Amino acid sequence: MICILSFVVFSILSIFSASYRDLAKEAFECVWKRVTLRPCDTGFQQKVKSRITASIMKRSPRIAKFVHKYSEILAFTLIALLLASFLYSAYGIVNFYLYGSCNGNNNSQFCVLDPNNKHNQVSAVGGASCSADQTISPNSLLSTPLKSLILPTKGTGSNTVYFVGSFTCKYTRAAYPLMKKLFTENEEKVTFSFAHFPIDETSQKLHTYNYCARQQNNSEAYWKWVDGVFTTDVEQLQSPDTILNLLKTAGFSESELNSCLNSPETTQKLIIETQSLTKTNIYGTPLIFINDKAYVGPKPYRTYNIAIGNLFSL
Amino acid sequence: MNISDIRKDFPFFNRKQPFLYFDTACMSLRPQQVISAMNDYYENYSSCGGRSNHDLAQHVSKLVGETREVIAKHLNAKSSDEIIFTRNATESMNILANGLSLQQGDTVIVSGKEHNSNLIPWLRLKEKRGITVLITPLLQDNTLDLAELEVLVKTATNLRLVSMVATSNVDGVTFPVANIVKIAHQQGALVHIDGAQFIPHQKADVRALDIDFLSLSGHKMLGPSGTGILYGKKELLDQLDTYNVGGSTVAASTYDSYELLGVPARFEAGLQDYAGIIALKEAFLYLQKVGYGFIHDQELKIGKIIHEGLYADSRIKVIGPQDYTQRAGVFSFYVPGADIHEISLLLNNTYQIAVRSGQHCVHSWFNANNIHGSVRASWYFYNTEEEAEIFVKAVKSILDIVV
Repeated sequence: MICILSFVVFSILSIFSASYRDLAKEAFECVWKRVTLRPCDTGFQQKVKSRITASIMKRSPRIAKFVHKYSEILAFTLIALLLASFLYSAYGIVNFYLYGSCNGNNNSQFCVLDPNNKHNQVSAVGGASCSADQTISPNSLLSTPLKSLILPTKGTGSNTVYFVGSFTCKYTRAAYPLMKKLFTENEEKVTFSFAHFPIDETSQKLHTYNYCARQQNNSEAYWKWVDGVFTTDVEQLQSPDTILNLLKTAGFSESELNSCLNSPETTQKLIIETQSLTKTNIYGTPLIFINDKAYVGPKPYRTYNIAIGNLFSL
Repeated sequence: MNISDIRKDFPFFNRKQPFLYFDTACMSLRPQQVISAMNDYYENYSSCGGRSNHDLAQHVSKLVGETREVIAKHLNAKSSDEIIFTRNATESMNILANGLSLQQGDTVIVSGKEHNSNLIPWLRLKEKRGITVLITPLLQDNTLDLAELEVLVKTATNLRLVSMVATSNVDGVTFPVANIVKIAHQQGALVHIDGAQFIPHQKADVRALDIDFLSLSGHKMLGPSGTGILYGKKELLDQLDTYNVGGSTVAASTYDSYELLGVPARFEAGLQDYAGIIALKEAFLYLQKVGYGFIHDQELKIGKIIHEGLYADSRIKVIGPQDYTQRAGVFSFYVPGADIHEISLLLNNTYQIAVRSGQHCVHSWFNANNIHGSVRASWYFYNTEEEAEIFVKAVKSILDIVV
């Protein structure tokens, strides 16, 4: 066991320092002999064991005796821990590959591969500020309420993508280009919908415009509008002129829009729609449902791509 | 002489990181005199001996001759021609084994505790030429069974040689060389003594003991590595064949003949280790200066401390007789249930004590006795009683860990 443990440890160390390579080679010879059912007579095991024992002996003979006596058990335990650690690391790497987080989908606990937790950041819903630190409870997220809404779609593929976000949320804005790319590259595989969820005063205003744009039944103009809003600076979006200009550029008629914007019915419907969106248990934007599975925060592009079945295309 | 003056001569004891050296049976430390002699050769007159006429070469030849004289005198050989320079005792024994022209039916007797160097050459002749090799058994305390040797000598067919170790490197026990010689000579057999561990520790008078051949290594007696001696009675060396011929072994040669030189030149083929040979003289002179009396006393003082400190410890098994005075310079032990290599490594890693572990090139004895190996501490006159006490404490503390 000591040989196996030494082989693993010295192999790793020898990647960084050539001085460990001879030891790794010696350990391998020992391991190889054991694997081929021969006794390890290279003296390596004694060398390692005595070096460890000697270094402990100088400090505490009692601990040295314990380590010496139970060296095989300790080595076995360390190998077990090492294997567990490897498996846990592999699990973390797989999770990171699949979800952009070592700890699993939407889990915002510390991940060494994403130390800033950028793949789980959201803008809080219902709060006054745009917060990146949310206690995520992804199990409660539901896509069903979205299906009751009449949302414009694009694409006819079998993979249903709901992109719920706020025009002013910087994390939604970070996720938008990825969504756009996902659709552009997989037009035949995806049916894409966007639901706006207001998080602040500016987005609340845009929410009304967005609702009225949707009501025009001009799908092409609608997606142009969405694209226009997401590619315009948030500060500029505070100006009504900018918003109207975006709507015009998208191809909407100002008069038709105005009748919707001024209608008391619109306010009523927006309240109902926001209530429906809240039933998804949304706690931050962006929230993306791909085939009913929730992804909170801007994940890496590969996460979305994998979710629609493209496991190895990044 | 006193021990502190002696230790000043050994640069090893001035190491920045002190080390307790208890591995003399493998290789001794060297005094400055030996090291300086080697350096002097390389720095001031590094040239061929016995060939060129220039002053430097003449100087080398002179010093090599002086070394031969000093060694001959040290061993009380009849003439310096009886001293042949070799690389080590192993080579000396191979020269002898190959030079005796032993044939099928001839018998060689060895002891049951031989170093591979005095066993393998004979076993090889057994394999290649069909000679008989007989093993003299040992008594319970690991000393030689002289009565059994006598029986073997008398009953052996065509006995040519009795070849035995004088002092064992396993346990430090010295066989009764004079008795061995007497028993062998009574039956007309020659006697070869492996003196590698003998000459460094005890005075040997080859003429008084009537030894026919004697092998020794320079590196075990303060001399440089790569130096050894084969002593042989002149009349026997004259009859000894040589297998290593070439430069400096012949008086003349033609395209189809050659004339070998006499003894010792014909056994010293090719360019010699002049630096080593010249420094070997200093090693012998140093031993003479210290004196075997001092060496013996100092070794016994250390042996007593180690014996009293460890022999009674029930955790260890000591190889050799109970009387520590019979185990000169060596304390060899093993610990049932513990790994000998690990013990020696712990001595090294924890206390910076150098000992040897293993079968010490005497595999045959260990295998016959079903012992995996031993930890061997071997000291010399330059070691101190304080070092012996440190060693005892260190072994005890390690036993507390490994047992």
